[in-house]
Amino acid sequence: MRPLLGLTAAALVLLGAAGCTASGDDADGGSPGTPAAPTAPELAGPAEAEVLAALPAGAATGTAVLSYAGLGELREPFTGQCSHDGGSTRIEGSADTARITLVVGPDGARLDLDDSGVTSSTELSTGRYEVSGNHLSLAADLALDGMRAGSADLEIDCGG
Amino acid sequence: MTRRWMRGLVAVALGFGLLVPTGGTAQADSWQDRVAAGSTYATNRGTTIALAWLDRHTGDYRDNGAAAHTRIESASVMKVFIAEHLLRRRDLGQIRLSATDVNDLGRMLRESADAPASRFWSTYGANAIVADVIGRYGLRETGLTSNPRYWGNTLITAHDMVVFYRGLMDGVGGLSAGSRDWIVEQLRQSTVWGDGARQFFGLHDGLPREVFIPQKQGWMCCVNGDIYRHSSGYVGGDNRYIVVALAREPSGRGGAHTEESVTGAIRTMFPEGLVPRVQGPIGEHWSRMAGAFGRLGYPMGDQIPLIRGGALSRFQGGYVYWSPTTGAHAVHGPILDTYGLHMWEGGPLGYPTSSEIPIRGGALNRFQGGSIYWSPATGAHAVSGPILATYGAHTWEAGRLGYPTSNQIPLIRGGALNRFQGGYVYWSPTTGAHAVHGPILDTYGLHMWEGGPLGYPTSSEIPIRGGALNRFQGGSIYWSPATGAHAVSGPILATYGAHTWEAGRLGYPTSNQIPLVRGGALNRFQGGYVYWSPTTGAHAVWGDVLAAYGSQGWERGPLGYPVSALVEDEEGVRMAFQGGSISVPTGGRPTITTTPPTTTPPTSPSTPAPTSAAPTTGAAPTTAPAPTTAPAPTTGAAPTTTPAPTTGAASSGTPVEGRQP
Repeated sequence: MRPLLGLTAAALVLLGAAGCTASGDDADGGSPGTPAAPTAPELAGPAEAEVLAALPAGAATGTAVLSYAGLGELREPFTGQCSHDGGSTRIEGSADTARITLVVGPDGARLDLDDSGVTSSTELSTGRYEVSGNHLSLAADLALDGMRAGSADLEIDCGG
Repeated sequence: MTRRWMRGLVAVALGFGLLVPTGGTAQADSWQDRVAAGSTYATNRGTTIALAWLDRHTGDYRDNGAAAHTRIESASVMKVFIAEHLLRRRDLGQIRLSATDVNDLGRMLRESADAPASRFWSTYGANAIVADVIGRYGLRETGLTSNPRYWGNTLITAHDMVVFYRGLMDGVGGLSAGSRDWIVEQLRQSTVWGDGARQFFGLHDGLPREVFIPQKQGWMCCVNGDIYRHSSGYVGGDNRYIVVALAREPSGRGGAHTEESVTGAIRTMFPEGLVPRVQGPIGEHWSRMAGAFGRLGYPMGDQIPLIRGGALSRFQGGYVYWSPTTGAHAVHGPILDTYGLHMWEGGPLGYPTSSEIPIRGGALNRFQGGSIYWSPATGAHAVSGPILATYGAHTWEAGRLGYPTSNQIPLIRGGALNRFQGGYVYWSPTTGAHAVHGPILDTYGLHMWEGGPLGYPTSSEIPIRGGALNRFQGGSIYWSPATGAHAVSGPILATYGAHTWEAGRLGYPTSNQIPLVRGGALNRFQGGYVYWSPTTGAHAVWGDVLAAYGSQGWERGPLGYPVSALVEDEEGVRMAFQGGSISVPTGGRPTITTTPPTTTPPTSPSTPAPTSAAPTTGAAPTTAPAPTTAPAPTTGAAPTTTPAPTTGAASSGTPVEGRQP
């Protein structure tokens, strides 16, 4: 079940990248590579919540790369806590000056940022949600109002 | 708050000092109205919007007040700062940009790619980039991002973005022209979709008739509770206009709502679908004519400077001319075509002094040097100078002349002619301008117009008792309903005058001058004939003497030409001729005395020459000698088709030159 979900998510990411070349560093410029209209992001839900439910609770460490469209990028080590509340998984902590809160539950996934005067609250699309032991590898688009708002790449170990 | 407002006011003052050059053209209030309307549109939708607009050609600048000087997060608009900063440093040899770097810069501008922006931002100094641009371009309202991790939180204003874009074109920041052009070209190639969003809201969607829009868009969602949508850049093939629209609103409404606010604001500012290339008085005039939705339609290009400090803007439906002395006036349709035939403002008509004036049955444009009249039946024709004055004396198109059917036609001896529906108006330097129409005009034509013996008219039609007359350099043409129009000239006219013209015994002429033998001539009148020959002069013959003269074969008979005036006294009447005399005692029969000629004998009295007439009374001769042909005008430009005046009756109109003969 998990490998299948991971493959599906990876395929969606690839498709998404093909449809939104501007978000990739290796996309060509000019007419041949003119970006096409992106499809509306598919939001994360119960499947992703189920994947993250396997993470152990406890201290969290890793790397957070959050790219916000039109704003900039946070690329910092992350430290915090992993926890569960019912069917939801909550990963909350700090990356340099930023406070990051990720909540993934059956009703969706949300990522909040509070970084020295910059606050943001977005949803997460489907993507790569892989749990291997205590390690989470997450790559998904940030979304709001049916539009892509950036991307999140998290590599985090939970449970110390 | 007070301090902030003070800062804003200072910035406004400084900004205007920077933006508006000396000698900027007078500004149309409509520009401010446009910006205000755009601002109102967005504000009514709950969107906070900053609008600024600049015409680089004129220095005309408008914004929506304090909002345009209030800082707002830049989102991706600031990527143009990054590009400018890096290219300048490269130009100065301070850094080296690889092909990948340059490619990424292009994508950052064209597609608004974020990843290159983040890479350049972190690599080349983050806030130092913006600080450098602020310093070189004098961006007094722009501020650094409070969190240097996020370039999109750079604080800009609509006003300062105009300052930046203008400075970029003007070389204010020291960027090389090549690098500047490269940036503008990347902006021009802005893709419809970029970085996951549609980039064509605002300028592109709001100005669908503009072909050339180098733009830098910005969008950012859900930051600090707001959605941001910015549209900025140049408009026009020469980057003439700079338009900046920066907007934000609470996140809950969605990006599409904000985009519509920005696009709608631009559309409201420029409902024509483009930035009108007109300003000042011409722009105001165009606006008064309902702008793009009026008869003139859309502008076709930029304002064109003309002679004598004037200017012209071309529109789909006509032109609007302006000069300091005449103001702004529109010319269009057939009148414009005719104006063109007269070499526009550089020709004799000069600048228009009125827009098109609807008149009964047609229209009129006035110019410095004349007027152009148009009607569906006649087309458009120019009338000017003394001919126009004479046309006016005939109450213009409302009078019997009606609309002109020709432009001014040059004639011999420096004269000119305008044809009208109801007649012609001739002008020459020595005679002035005078109207000829009706049967008199027909008779004038029979005498070869101005090229014939009559020459140019020296009067317009003069109403006289029972008829009318036109005077010419070489004679007069009289008309009455009973007699028609006939020319009288030279000594015969003098003799006619001695008999008090049409008011005297002779009445109206019933023939034109008829050439006779030995170089003589004859005019018939209602009350007699006037004969003239080179050796005898002109003398009038009437009544019983005329009948007796006829019985002797007229001038070809033994009596020859009359040599004295007809004498009337209590004894009767008598008259001397070359070959004798005729006397008629009162109540008696004529006595004819002939003297044999010493030189050329007259032909037999019983055989009148075929060219002479032999009426016994004042009735017209059966052979009716007339001018030999109906000569064409002497110049090629003279009338050839000779349209007859539409009214058959002469002299029934309004008096135009009141002097009696």
